[in-house]
Amino acid sequence: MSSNELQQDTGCRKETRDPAALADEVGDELMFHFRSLVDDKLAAGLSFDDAWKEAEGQFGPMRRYDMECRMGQIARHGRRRRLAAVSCFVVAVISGWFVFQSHRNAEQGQLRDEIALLRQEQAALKADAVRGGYARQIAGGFDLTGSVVDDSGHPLENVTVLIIRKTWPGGGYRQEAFTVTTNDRGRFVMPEFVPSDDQYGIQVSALKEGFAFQSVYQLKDKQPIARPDPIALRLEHAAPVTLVVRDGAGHPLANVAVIPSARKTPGGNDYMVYFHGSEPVRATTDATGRVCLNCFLAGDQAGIFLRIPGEDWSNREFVVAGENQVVDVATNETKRDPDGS
Amino acid sequence: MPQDKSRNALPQGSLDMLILRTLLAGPQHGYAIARHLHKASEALIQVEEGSLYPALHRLERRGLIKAEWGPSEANRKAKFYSLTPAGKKSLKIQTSAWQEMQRAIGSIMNYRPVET
Repeated sequence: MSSNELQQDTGCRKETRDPAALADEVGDELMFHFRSLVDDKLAAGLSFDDAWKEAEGQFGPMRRYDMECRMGQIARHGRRRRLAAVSCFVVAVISGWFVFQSHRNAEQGQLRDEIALLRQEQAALKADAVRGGYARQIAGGFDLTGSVVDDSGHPLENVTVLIIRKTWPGGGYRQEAFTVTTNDRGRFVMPEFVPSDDQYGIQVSALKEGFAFQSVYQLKDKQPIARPDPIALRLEHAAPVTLVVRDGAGHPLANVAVIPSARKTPGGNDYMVYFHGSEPVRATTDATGRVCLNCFLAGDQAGIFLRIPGEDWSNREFVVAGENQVVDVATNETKRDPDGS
Repeated sequence: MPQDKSRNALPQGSLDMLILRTLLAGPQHGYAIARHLHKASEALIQVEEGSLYPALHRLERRGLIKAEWGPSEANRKAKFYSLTPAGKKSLKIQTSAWQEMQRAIGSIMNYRPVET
């Protein structure tokens, strides 16, 4: 087989691109892998330092692999360039080392900055919560972490995560509601959120417009108290449902508050939203008495909380038949003058 | 946790074959390849994940795989590798050589001398 035939058959080619650009690509590639390792370990609930150390152990000596890749690229330059490449090699290794180190430090610095910003935000939230009468953080407690993705596995940003924390301080019972939204990597973290020395329960519901909501409940009541399992939710695209609220006379009712409260899937999975702390996901009917809920799937047995202005909250249930379904929600009112008299 | 490199170490030369086999399913970046090797071997094969990259670059130079930068699942820049026709051919050859080696080793390990 001639060298031309070999080139055609294997696609082997002489590298003609700038070695410095290739060196940058090697660094980018290795750092993408390393950063993905760190991200996964952070999502699993490790602290930043532990995640970094474990990732280093799992990846192996990055300097060595970086150098092996670069040396391979030098060899690709063919015989005629080899002499020049060898003299460039020393410069490339030294400059590559500094590029790699600054790249690595920049990545590490960037991750650390993200964690620091998150902690600043949480400190501010803690200060607000303390002013409100109770603390979001429990000193010395376990972190609660979670991630939300769509049905293709892509991270979902700006998911509203409603969290109910149940604790039993001094034998009593306390239930508190919190809200957090996922970041651009679909993750959230509540630092020092649950006690490390006493039983706790957490109910986590994830809602985002256009996706069927899900929830999960954990109860840790056995000593030694375990840290919470990282929350991992995968949301499917929802079937939009339009609710129409009318009175007994058939007149549409505006400003009726509606909150999705439960969904039972055909497969038997139960998901729920606690009423406590559900204000962020409350919707209201418009002047035609309509509100669109885009958080159920076809086939779901859906539950909602509903409140007509001036009345108490009540429950309604219906089955989601399919996309763009219109559900007429009857009320108990039998007579209403649309002019308000 | 430090890894015991003597246990479950890959036989020499087999990493290339495992990478080619992984890419038979479609283009993947190095991190996804590492995750697949870990999962498909039920964590029995332990390799330092960085060792994938010299192997990937070597396979690329030999024309058995090709690479293209693109967005990852998390929308970050990643380098995706895919098999070339030459890579598929090479994988077939390496797979059958490996299977023959397996048979040969199995014969030796199961050998029982005939008693006279």
